[in-house]
Amino acid sequence: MQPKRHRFGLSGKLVLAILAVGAVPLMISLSGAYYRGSSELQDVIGANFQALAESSAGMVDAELQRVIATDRILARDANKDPKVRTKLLGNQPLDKNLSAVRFDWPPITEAEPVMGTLKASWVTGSEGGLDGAKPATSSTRNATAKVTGLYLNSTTQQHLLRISAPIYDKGGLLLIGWLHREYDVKKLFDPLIYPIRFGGTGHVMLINNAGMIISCPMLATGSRIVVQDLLARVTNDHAGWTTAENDGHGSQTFSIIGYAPLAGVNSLLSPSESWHMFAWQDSREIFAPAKSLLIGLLFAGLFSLGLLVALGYYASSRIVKPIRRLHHEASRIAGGDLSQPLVIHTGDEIEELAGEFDQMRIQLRQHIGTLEDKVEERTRELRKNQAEKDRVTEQLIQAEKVAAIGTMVSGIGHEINNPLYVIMGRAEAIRDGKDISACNEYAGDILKHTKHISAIVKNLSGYIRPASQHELETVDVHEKLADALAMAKLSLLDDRIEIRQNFALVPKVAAKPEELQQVFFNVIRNGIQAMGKKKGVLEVTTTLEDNQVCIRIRDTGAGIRTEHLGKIFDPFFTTKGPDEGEGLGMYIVQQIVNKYDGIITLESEVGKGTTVTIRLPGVKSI
Amino acid sequence: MSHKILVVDDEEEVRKTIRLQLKGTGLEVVEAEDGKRGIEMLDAENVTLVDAILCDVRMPNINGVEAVAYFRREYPHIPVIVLTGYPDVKLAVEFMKEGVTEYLVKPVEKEKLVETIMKAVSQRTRVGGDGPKM
Repeated sequence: MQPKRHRFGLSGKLVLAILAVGAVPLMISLSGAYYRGSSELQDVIGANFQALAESSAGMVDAELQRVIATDRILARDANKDPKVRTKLLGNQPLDKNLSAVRFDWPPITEAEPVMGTLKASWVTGSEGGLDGAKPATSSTRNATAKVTGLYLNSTTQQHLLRISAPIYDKGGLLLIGWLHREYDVKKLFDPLIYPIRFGGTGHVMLINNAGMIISCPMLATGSRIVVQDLLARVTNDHAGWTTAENDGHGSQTFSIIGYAPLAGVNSLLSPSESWHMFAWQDSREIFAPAKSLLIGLLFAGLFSLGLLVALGYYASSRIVKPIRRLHHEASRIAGGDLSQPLVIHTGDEIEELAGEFDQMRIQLRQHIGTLEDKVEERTRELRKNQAEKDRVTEQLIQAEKVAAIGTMVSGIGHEINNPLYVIMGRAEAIRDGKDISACNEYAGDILKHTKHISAIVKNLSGYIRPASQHELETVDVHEKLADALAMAKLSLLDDRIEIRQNFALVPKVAAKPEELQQVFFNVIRNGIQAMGKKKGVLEVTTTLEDNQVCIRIRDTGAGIRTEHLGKIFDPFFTTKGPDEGEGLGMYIVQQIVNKYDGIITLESEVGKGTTVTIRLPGVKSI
Repeated sequence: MSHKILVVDDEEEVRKTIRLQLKGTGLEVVEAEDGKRGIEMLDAENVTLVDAILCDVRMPNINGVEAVAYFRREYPHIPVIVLTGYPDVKLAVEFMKEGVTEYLVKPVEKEKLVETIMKAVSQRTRVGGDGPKM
């Protein structure tokens, strides 16, 4: 049996199963871990950014408070410290309607602790304005400093803020004017904002609620955040963190943003304005560790998968190898080779299965052995039976031959008695005669007729001998037809039956001659008997058809009735009288013809006659 | 006294044998080579000239069975002796029923043949007493 090729062998299925069992949970857990890690990382980073924004906001707030405090002290000292007063107000009383008087004290480039930060100083009366932007006035002694938000000096292109501190009279009770000092926000806040960096891109930025950048290490002061949605979320009055699909820096990448308001500054600003701190880092950088972790995990996962496949393959081959061997051995047994024992040592169920198979093999071998014995025995019996049948057929052929001769006895007797009578008559003449020359003539006649009788006896005794004593030889069918015709003629009392012979050149046939003669004699005798006492024709024709010698024996007798046609070759079937035959003739004819691989067929019409055709294979050479 | 015997047999050798056996017995032999010729001869000649018929069975044209039947029917007063090679009891019985005088199976000895013919002839003479005398 040819082993069938499988698209997915057992080994492949096992590896697939191991992969499925190992890989699916691995992938699920990896994905889960990554998602959870990212989510938690986001929370932690958000909280960190919020804290960073808060601390940064506090720092900037504190710095601005320090600057405001400095200005307030300077303004307070304007009436108390003569030196300051001289510098700020001269010796004139401060007119409450004094409009802005610019002065340069302390010298802006020297005295100001923040180099170049202070851009201008003015003093105005309590009612005096400054560039149309009067600080909110208060007549009480507790008037607070004011911060005026960002504005652009179009000449210097600097973003400025102004701190207005109240100036009181000597008694310190009456507000008499304002000290306005203008600062460059960039110079003021950048030293605070810029150093706050984390990672490659992490930084904080200071914006106002209109989205204008006050200080940012990445964006120019005065530029704007245009994403209104993000702006609304980060310019709250409380600290917090949020995520956004953009980073506020013009990139559309995912961001985590921490934010916090500058509470101290905002309370001094006009109510419509507020400042906020903003902590941000490039998401690629934020998630770089997570990504790196993910890649690591992926590699670990792939490695695990590879390991799974390799181990799975190894394991499956450990399992499949003995199964393959089992399959191979089973195929061998199925193919009929039962000689070799089937032994597989795996110490598991496969070994048990192999054991069962081997038991089956042993039982099968025993059964087949028994079966073969039985077949042999039966063959012997059949051969014996066949031999017995052959022997019986042989005996039957002989018996029929003898029986046929029995019906011919008077014909044979006639054939012998006639010459015998002639002999007797001549012998009497010799006995009684005196004429020597006549005696010589009579003796010649006697000799002639004795030879004739001898020939008849020889022919008959040869014919009557059992076929078992004859040899198979190549026989001239015409010779045997002539012998059969001569025998058949013995039963004829006269010449009313015309015998016609049409013999073609035909090959010889392999047979025992006497058996062929028996066949022809039986058929011819039947033909003669069918014509009874009437006139008729018996025609014997031979032809060569497809290297078969074809012998047709036709009579013009009574013909065979339809109901008898099927029984013609049955043993003991006869329509003749008790002395004319046993009903074995045609049965024997068929047996003999079949024995020589021949065919006998019969056509008959009642009242017209019968034609028997015998076909016998011709031997190669004619 | 001479008696005329009609021998009907197709074989010359047999007829010659009969001639040899009847030689010197005073029996005159006339021969016919088959049944048909025998009938013709008997019908043509004066029946009174034949005293007995010696007839074979197996012959061409008209065989012995038919010829004998004719003889017995047409010339019942002439005794018929069948001389044949067939040692066939059934055939013998058939002929006896026809009224043949004897059924002789060849080979038959000279004495036996002569005796049988003589006996038949004497019977004819006795039975057919009203017939013409030789």
